[in-house]
Amino acid sequence: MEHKLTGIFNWRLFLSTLGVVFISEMGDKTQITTMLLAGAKPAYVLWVALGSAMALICTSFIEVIIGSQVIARYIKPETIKLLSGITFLILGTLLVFGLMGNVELNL
Amino acid sequence: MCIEFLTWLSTYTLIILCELGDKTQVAVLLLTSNNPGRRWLIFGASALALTLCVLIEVTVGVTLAKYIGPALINRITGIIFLIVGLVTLAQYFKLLEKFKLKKPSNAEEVANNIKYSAE
Repeated sequence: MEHKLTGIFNWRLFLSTLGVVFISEMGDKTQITTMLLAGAKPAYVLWVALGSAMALICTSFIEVIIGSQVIARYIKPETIKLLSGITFLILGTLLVFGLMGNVELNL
Repeated sequence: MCIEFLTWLSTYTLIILCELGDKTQVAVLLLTSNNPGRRWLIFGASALALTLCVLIEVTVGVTLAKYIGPALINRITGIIFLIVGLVTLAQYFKLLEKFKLKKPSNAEEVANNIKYSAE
């Protein structure tokens, strides 16, 4: 029964995706843009939030489709695992040493 | 066109353009290509995470950025990405080990493929 439930809804994957996406969004240029927009138009904060949330959901929809339909179809799961491990390491190194992500927006 | 709609539209366009090729996108892309069968779960989780992010940005984010600054936040994110990368690589090598120890028979392979495509 428990196995069946985890088959339908994988909490571990759900929570780890939630955590990774949430954390990777922190200090991103998207976040800074939304902050600036919300600060610039405090009277229309609801509309800024709505636009930003919808845009993010649309982009993650596109990514999910590309990842599952294109990449997962043509590359072996083991290779994807290796590549994503290396990519995460590279991204992490670039972020730690400040070579990436330090965006200055001039709106 | 009313100002509410214009605000919404400008935010929408700006965020879509900002988000393209961003590290969040890379993370979602890698997660889905690792688990293609669970793409709607990942989509739901990332949509929820992004919506929560927007809520935080709009409320607490302004003050947080003022005191900590994006540079330190990026550094913390980098450390977390390094941990995620190491864990993924560890999983990869475990997969290889299992493959070496016990090569699946043809019947098992076929069964796995059916399960994989059914997902």
